[in-house]
Amino acid sequence: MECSAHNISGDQNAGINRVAGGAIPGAVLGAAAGLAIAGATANPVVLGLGAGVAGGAALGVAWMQVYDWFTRLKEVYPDPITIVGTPHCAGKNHFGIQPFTDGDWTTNIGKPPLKLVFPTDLPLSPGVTDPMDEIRTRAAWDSNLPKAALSFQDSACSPTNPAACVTPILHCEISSHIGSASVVGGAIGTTAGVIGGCIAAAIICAALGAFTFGIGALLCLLIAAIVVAALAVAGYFIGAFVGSVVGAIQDAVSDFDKQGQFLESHQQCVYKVSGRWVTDTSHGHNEIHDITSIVLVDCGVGSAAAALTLTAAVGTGRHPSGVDP
Amino acid sequence: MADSAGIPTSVAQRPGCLGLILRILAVMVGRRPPDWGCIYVPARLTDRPDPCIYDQFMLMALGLPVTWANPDVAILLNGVPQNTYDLVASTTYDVIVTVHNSSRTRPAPGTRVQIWWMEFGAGGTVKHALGTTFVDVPTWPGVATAQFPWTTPATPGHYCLEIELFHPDDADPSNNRGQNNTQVYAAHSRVESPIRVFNTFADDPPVQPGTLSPKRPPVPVHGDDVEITVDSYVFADAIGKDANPDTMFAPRDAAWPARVEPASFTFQPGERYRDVLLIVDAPDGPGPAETFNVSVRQGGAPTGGVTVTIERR
Repeated sequence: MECSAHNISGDQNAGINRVAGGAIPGAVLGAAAGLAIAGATANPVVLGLGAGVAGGAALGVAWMQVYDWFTRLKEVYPDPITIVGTPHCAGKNHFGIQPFTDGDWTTNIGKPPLKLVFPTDLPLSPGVTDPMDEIRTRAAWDSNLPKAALSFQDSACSPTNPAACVTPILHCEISSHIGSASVVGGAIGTTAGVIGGCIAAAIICAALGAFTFGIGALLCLLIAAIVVAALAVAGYFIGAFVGSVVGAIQDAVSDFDKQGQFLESHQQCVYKVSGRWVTDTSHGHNEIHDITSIVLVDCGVGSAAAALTLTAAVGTGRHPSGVDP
Repeated sequence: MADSAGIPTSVAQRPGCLGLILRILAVMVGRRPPDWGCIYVPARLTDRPDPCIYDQFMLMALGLPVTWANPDVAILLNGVPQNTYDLVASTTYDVIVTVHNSSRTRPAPGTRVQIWWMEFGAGGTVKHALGTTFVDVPTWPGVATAQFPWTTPATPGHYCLEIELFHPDDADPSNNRGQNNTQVYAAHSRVESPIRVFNTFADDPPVQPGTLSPKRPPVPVHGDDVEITVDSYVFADAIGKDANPDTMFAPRDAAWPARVEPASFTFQPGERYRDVLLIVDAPDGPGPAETFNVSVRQGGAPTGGVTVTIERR
């Protein structure tokens, strides 16, 4: 079971689709640039066209990913919010490269009691009576979403299987450096790969110039596109991996894995979680990202009523006896 | 957490080169299932002070009953507790605020305590500064007290108090605001206590239709619908092993027949407040006093309340 959110509606792959959308405008711009550069450097037009289309598409995707990564989280509310609830899972996304993983620390906070405790005067949208529903569904004004998708813990929950969506949660994350470093490294690697590919393609096409003009031009076009695309992809993976390693080093030297506190998901522990309320436009749901503070209320909490009264007692400085927070 | 020298262990236990390499490898190749049951959260997120006070707004957000006789606020005249409603004009009182710290590991030095007085009622927004001070709050179960001398205005009136705490490293912003609104009546067979309910969100800017993109939903505004409840909940203050949360926050219905008229209404545009009536049918004859907590929500948000004590003499 992964510690990710499963949405009852919306597009879980919106981010990937946006990033892929950078390919076509990138290819068009790349073709124009390739033709211009080929003309200026007295290289074959087909070289510029092939390399430009392939390289432009690769650069469009890679840099679109950078843009999308750093703008995907849209703030719903200017101040931090505080919710209280029980983690239904807790984990760390694997080490790896974007778009496959980001190394973030994640938890899904759900019942009991799953309540908003700050701010207490949050205005509610028409038809909403539970402030937590407002937290889960109000889309950030610049997200271009009419509503955020409700998210659930249940792994079978999806827009095509809404009946499986029974355990409401709010996804919460602590950012790792891996994701950001990976997308930046990938874009730099892609750029280097495109440049290297263009040089390699020019050398190959120069060699192909000895052949019959028509066949040589066609081969040049295809080889330029293939070589540039191949080196761009290789550059992306190498750059993203190097970036991820840099991110892992940043994580290691920052305060992760130092003396902190465990957040438990299988001990019936209740926590207050504060942080930035955002709409994650990559998945279309709301979450807390980044978490700014976590307060353990108590563990071994058996019932919803106990979760409320323990939260109240600890929150007013009247810790009862029990598991030592 | 701290070592014996008081240095946070997160600082005291910096790794050497080998430790750092192992830590990097752990991040990269450590076997971590996506849901491994727990995550290790850095101290900067978990090990922070949490100065707090009996905060009725947090408690109402949890759906729990509250008293507006704040157990962390006392108004004394020559050492005798007073009710906020009955204060005498041009008289100097001592307001004592008890500040707790929910953190067992981090003290809260320099916690700012601000206090205001407002017109008596529920949901008031016009605040008059009474004072600001700073206190050093030790770790739980220690407390700090802030004392404010307060000379009431020369014009006779009825008041309530609001207290707000601030600490720059506060782990929990939800438990920093408390109010003290109390009133005492001598019982008759039927007690009628007028209570002013303020339109807390009267100054909210209205949404401008047509200024938002069709793709962008309008920003919600606070509702004008008011709901008022009355109960006889009493906060049994206790701490540590003496505290039982189930009994501390157990709801208690109105001890005597009691109602608020009207119990719900909608503020009209431009309306700043509305006076409602708490009506209690008290038993005849002498007997123990009872308290009645009148709590107000506007647009679903808790906005304030009053605790009325009715004495039988």
